[in-house]
Amino acid sequence: MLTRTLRQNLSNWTLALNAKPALPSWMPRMAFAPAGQAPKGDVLICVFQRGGMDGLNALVPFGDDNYFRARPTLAIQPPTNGVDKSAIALDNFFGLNPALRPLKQIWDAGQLAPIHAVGSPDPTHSHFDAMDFMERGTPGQKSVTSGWLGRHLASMNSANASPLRAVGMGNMLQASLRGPVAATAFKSIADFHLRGRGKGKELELMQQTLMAMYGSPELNTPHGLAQTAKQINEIFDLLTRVNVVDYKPANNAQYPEGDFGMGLMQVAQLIKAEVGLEIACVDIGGWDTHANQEGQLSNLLAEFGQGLGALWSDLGVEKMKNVMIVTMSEFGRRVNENGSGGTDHGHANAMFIIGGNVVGGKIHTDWPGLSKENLDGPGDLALTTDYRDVLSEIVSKRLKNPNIGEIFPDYSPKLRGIIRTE
Amino acid sequence: MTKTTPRVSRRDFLKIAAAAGALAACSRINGETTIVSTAISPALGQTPTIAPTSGSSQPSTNLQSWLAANRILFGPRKSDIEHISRIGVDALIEEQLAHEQLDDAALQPRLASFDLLNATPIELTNDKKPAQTLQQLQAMTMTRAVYSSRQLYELMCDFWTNHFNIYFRSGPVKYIKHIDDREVIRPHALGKFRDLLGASANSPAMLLYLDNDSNVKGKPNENYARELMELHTLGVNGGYTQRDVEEVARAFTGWSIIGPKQTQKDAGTFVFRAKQHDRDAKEILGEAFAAGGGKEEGERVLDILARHPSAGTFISLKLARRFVADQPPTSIVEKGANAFKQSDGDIKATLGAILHSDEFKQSTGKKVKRPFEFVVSALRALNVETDCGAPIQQAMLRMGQPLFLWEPPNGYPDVAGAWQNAGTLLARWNFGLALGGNALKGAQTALPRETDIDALSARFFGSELPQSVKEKLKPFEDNPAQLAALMIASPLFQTRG
Repeated sequence: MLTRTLRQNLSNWTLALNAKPALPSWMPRMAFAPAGQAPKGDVLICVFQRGGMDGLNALVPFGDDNYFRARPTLAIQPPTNGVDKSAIALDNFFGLNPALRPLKQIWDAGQLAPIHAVGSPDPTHSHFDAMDFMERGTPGQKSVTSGWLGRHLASMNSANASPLRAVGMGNMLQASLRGPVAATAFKSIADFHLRGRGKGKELELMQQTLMAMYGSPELNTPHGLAQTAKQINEIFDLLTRVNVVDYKPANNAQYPEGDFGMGLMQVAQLIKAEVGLEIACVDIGGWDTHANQEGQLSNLLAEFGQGLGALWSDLGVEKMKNVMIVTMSEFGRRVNENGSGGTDHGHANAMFIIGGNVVGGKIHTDWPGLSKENLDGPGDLALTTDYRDVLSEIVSKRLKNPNIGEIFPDYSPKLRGIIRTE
Repeated sequence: MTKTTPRVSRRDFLKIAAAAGALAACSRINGETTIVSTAISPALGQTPTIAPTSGSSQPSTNLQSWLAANRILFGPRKSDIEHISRIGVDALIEEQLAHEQLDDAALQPRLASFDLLNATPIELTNDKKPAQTLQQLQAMTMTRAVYSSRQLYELMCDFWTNHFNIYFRSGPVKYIKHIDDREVIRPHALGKFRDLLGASANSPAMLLYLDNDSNVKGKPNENYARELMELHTLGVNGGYTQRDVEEVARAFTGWSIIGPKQTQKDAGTFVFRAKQHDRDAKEILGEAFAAGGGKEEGERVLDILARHPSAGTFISLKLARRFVADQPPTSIVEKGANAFKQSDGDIKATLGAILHSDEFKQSTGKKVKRPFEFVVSALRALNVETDCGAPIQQAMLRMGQPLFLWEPPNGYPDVAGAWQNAGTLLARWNFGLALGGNALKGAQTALPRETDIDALSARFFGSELPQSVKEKLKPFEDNPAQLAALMIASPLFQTRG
């Protein structure tokens, strides 16, 4: 998807050395097609909670008595109890885990859409299969090798040739971004430069030589590596536009420490720098709470909530008009707690959507109930909303991509009124 | 050493290697071990090339030696190539499989400083030294990979460390993970699979990591039971159900540990809590377990799993993926699975069947190195003198593979796609620049002054570079440090053979 100019520059490795003073002069400058061009639709930020978030303790159904029967030690107390460990009421049936307090301000602003009893319909209880199916967007089958976001990017007729069009924050690209459009993964903008002892000229020459080797047809470089090398080179140039050293989040936003908060903050940086970002994926792991989950889940939800809250504040009202944040996890957890003070793998879960154009102020759910006869499989929350319904609505209404059939093949989504078109 | 001699002699070696490899294969069949060196017609040798051209199905013979050095070893030292050329690939495989007979005395002094790894959990808890324990475990593991003569054995230790992955920072696991390494992975890495599986199931670190320490009757914890079948033995499509997971969890109720932070002497050791064991009847993978059983139920489950046909196929598939290709041919997986079955789960026999296969010898350039192999192969190629300390482990972190720190139970990914990311590839380039430029603390690179492009590329790639690439490297001809850096960072050095 490179522009002609970019391709020529890469193959000829012509350098224009009129670098900005902010970065070493040896860094290459390239003509970059969509400078500052905003994407056609919203920027989408996908947060994946790896390990299986306990949706029942995150978005608490305190109005369902069976919840308390199933979880004698782990249940989050109803808001009326007024203790600091009780749920934060959203309506008279559902509430937020108290560790998710940063989401309350977003709810109050009408920009939070919680969804419950949602997920992938495949019944697997394997983390790795469940993540795989969810990220491919093809529950139950692995014949499609690309991810749902990869297919969105491929089917979206965008003039955007930015190497940062789709970014996975972290060391490994999220499976949802796999596909013909080269998405990129990195962990740190600040670390994204070539280090070496040589003086500017020498490093410049070394970089050119590296690029020549990675581009050489005679070295049989695996396609993925050659592609990645090309991305590195393009990103070097593009990142000169991003203030990597002393970024100050707006509105006193405070990102949590750690990879998740850092990832979100860098997404905000990229959005503000207008480098062509359309899709960003950020992961947060550690949700596999089989044992002693109370403190562990509380810490994780605090990090998760603080991160989302900070991102929302940092981007501010204007930017949030064209941003969608969606959270998901491979499955929820068993309704009954186990003997370890934890919960085993379950099925349906909770998702959160944040954005300037969500239908806020209500919990989007067809609540199946937690009485024994309503549970699924070994005792799981039943699924009443397919996560593809939610994603289809975001993609079609906000990302302006009508090709849902290509993104979720063999599936007819039901739009559930979670997102506003304007 | 003149500028041209190494190249010429290498070519000769390669020609000899071609025939020696063939002889070695024959002599193995005849039960002989001596390789006779013979005069070889030059016509048998092939011109060294970087990679097989698309038209030819057989890789050149030098590539076979190279492939062996890159997959059976953690990448070649200069002396290894001479050795392989002399004895041939099949003899190398046999030599490496008989790891206990390889003299490793030279390694031992390098391990002496890793004292915390002999400590008991209680000593570590008292000293509050888990961070140092991790550093020592990482450094010791890499030191062995770099300097041990038992290269294939060390590769297999890494393989099983990932197969039976335990995240070092999972709570109190940090006090006992080094014991799992010492008493589970290393003693059985080339032994019987059932012994390895049994040691792992009884390993306090594993029981803690997968929460079986709190798996009790009435309210079982499914975590270990599921991963035992999905990741350790049968594979996710290996023929078990959710019901089997629940039943296996019941069979392992009571398999627990004395908490590593307890003050008693046996803190951090295995204990079977009979009172917590579910003694009711069970049915697991179609087999009936009568009521009244105890700890032996778990052992019986391990017997069933280790002998299940899916286990042989799954282990063989993972080995073939490790040593041959991300998507290995079905034929080689079957060879491994048959060997597994016929040898009652002998790891050596299974691995041997895979490595001696034609599929192994014909696969080239498909395996992208993980950072561990990338770093170790660079250290070996340059004969670096290193303690594998914090700066190198920091680089491993930036490249995406800090040892013992993969959080989910499935181990670091073993397919190229996982390792082709802008941030981590850039980190590899920076590692190359730092190592070549002698800018990594605790790693001394001593390049011979007269090193030139051909000599260095023989060292890193086992062959000459195409003329067009040599041209690009010409400006660095007088700077072996930068040449070495570029070669480490080059695409050719990112693949294993």
